[in-house]
Amino acid sequence: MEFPALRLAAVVVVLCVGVLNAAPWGPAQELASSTSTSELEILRIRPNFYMIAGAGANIAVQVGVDGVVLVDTGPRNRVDDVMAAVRKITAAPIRFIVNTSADADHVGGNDTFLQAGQASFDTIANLFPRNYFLSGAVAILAHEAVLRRMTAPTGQVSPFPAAAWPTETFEAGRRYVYLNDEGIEVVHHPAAHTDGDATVFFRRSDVIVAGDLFDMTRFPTIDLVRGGSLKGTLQALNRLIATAIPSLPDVSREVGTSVIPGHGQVGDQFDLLDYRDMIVIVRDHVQDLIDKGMTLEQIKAANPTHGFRRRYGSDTGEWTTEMFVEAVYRNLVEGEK
Amino acid sequence: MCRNLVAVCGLLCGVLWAIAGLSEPTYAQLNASNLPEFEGSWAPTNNEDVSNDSVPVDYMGLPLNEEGRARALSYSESQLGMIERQCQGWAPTYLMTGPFGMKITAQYDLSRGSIIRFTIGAWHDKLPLDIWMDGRELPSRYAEHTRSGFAVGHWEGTTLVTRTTHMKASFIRKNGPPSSDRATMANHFYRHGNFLTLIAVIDDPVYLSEPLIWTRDFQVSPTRLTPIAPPCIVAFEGPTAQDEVPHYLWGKKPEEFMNEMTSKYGVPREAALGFPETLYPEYREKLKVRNNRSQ
Repeated sequence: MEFPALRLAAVVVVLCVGVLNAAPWGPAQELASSTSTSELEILRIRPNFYMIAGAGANIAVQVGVDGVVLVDTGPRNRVDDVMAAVRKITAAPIRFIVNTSADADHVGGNDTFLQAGQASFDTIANLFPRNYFLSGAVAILAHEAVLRRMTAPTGQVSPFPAAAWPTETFEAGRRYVYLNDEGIEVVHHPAAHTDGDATVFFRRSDVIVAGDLFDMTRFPTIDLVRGGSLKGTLQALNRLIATAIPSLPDVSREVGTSVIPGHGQVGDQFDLLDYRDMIVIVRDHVQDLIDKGMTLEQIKAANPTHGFRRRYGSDTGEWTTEMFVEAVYRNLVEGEK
Repeated sequence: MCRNLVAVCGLLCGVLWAIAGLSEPTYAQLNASNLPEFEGSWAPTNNEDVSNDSVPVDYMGLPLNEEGRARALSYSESQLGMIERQCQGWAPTYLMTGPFGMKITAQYDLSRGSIIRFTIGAWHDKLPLDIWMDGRELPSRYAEHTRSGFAVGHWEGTTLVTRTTHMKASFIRKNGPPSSDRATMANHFYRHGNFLTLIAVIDDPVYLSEPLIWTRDFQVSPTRLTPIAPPCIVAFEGPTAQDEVPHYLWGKKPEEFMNEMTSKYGVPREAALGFPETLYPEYREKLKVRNNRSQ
């Protein structure tokens, strides 16, 4: 009699342990504030707003009754991981995509997400534009300049496949939509990082997606070849600073507008300020050295980024400190184009 | 049969108790009688390492690297007049240099008998600092860095040991020596009777050439300190162009600022500029030798 009773006890214990281990700490299916997928990290910024980091450029994900709104789609070689991360957040259909620039690490997943979104809707919705967007059920919105950068004149090879091109473009300074219970403003910043930069302001969530105008990992990439400028970058940052609101008058609570940069950690108005001030101070140093009659090479050697180089600088990679100094120098000497 | 049932129940309870115990080994135990009490109001004794920020160029005792010194020398306190910066507050390192006391409170998980967090209350330009004692993980490196940072703590004997990360870029002294958002701060809280000693080790790979170590003492306050900060209202709205930031170009810091430590206190300029060797007692001997030679 005793042996079966102990065996019963063991079974009960095992069952209890199993139940305890299976019990979730929080609500079922709810993501923690930060989780990872194939080395990508998913950060919960607001109850229905996430940032996917680690794929290269940051990707913003807003979720609601209308489906998924994405800002940027990451680089092409990480599209499967990014898609897995989005699916970890929600099974809702992809509905609306905004590109902040034509950079390859921001638009690489465009076609994949567009097709995934279209596949979520019935054929009629995709065939009849009036139902949703010009492209059918899903749209990719970007400034007109982004489309120009992603395409090529007839007879030349396009840098991106046609399926990845924006389906909706705008020339005016601002475009807006209302999805998932909030107004979403897409604002063009002329001649900043490039000539096609857009930032996306989610008004109810109080989140700004800044793209590469704001990069917490390096000096700003002022791409003069693609229409970028120092003055435009500063103007764009000033506009974002004016849009973002910190915790006032109650400074004891660290709340306020969140700003998702093109790369690196999430920021707020103070981080935008620090970034803008850094650019202004470097600009002033470069101008001072120009005024002393120095050449570009002499100015590079004088290290006008001193004080910020260990934090934002790089001697290797696609955007080095010297490239930044040269961009500032050329803008100051040759003027804005 | 009854004996078997008791044995089964005993075994079950024992295993469940063991599982429950294993699941929270890092929790601070509420009823641990040997742990000191930190809650309450602590007044600063202000007898060491207090704010050396009344002189514009006084970086003595700070192991600044070249980048840190460049930032410090370019700093203008007029930056605090910028509309967006008037209510920005200071980094948690200000805990070690500010003029304020500490109001420490604790939040308990009564069902588990544990401390969830200590909170060091706010001052008018210092945000509250939460010290999480519940074993939670650090936020992602992509998470927002805040003015308060993110602090976790644990007990080492009767010492509370904390580590603060995810701090915003700020300043380690109000006259310009910077701290970066890569900086971390380790604190040890020791209680000796009515005194509380706080040790801070600040590590900043961006602006410091070696860890900065500070200590500060507090004593039990006979009066009650408040843990909340007053509201901050932006007042000055003077004309500041958006693409202008108050700062000094290299070599343009006013000479009266550069010389103040020397003219007022006889401190050599190189000592005032915060080179790492000025931290150590051997540096005094070096100064003596140099002074003797010059005489």
